Amino acid sequence: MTPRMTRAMIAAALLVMAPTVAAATGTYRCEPTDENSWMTKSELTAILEEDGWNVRFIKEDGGCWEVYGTDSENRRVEGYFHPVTGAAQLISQRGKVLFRAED
Amino acid sequence: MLKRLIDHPYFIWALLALPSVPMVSELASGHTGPNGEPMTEYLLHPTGEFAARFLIISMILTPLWMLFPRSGFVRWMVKRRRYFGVAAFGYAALHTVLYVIDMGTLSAILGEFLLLGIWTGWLAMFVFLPLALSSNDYSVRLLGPAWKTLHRTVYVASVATLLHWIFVHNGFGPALVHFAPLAALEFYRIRNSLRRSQVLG
Repeated sequence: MTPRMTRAMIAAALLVMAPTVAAATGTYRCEPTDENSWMTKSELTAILEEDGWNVRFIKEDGGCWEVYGTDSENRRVEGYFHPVTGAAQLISQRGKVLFRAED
Repeated sequence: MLKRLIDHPYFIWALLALPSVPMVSELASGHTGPNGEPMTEYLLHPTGEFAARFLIISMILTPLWMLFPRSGFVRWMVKRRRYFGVAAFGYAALHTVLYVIDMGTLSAILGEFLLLGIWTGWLAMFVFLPLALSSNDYSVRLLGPAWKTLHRTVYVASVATLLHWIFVHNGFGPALVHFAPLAALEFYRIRNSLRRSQVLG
């Protein structure tokens, strides 16, 4: 292998590795809370349905409740909610941010 | 004996179809995903990811061969490049069908069509279609030199795929992990051919 090829290989390896590290950070991270004080998925679902949402499913992500469904305008959305208060933190539609809570 | 098996067209087809086996069986099972999501939604990610992987493989083979001209494995892959392209289309088509089913209505699909993360995906699919249809030997003969020109539009599809991946998740991580090797090898290829033309010119 020529030195030039070696350089190219090293560059390729670095290019692959750099974003792998960056990928470890999630889309959103909620403030640390005690899981015992979290509202249940069905409690959060009830609140959101009041607001006109249709909840498809909920999972935990970054210490938040992450909700998938459609909002009151019938847009397919993904929302991060504070697991204790149920306050919306970040709502996006296919990657487009619709709402972000101010810190 | 083993070589004959490996070189049989059915072998590469089976290999490329392998990731779809658990996907299709999950879909047929009627189960929901691990978080209770509909299977159509759960499978969106793996189908899209495999489409992108096979697309990238089909595109890195030529520069990879320039880099490793004596590798038997790369040579074996290069000879089957069109199969990887067809597989990329197959997974992309499955991805699109799952998306359409998951959205449920035309108005829902049109309602988000203009989002950057969505129309880029449709663009990639639109570019893929003629490439997949002309991937057979008959089309190669029929189109002659035009075949190569037509199939260069795969670069448009790859950029659209990259943008689709980045913007639909609003994050660079996984998309760049997959596309970085392609970018590095394309950079190498372009530099190499520029150098060669300088020497000749």
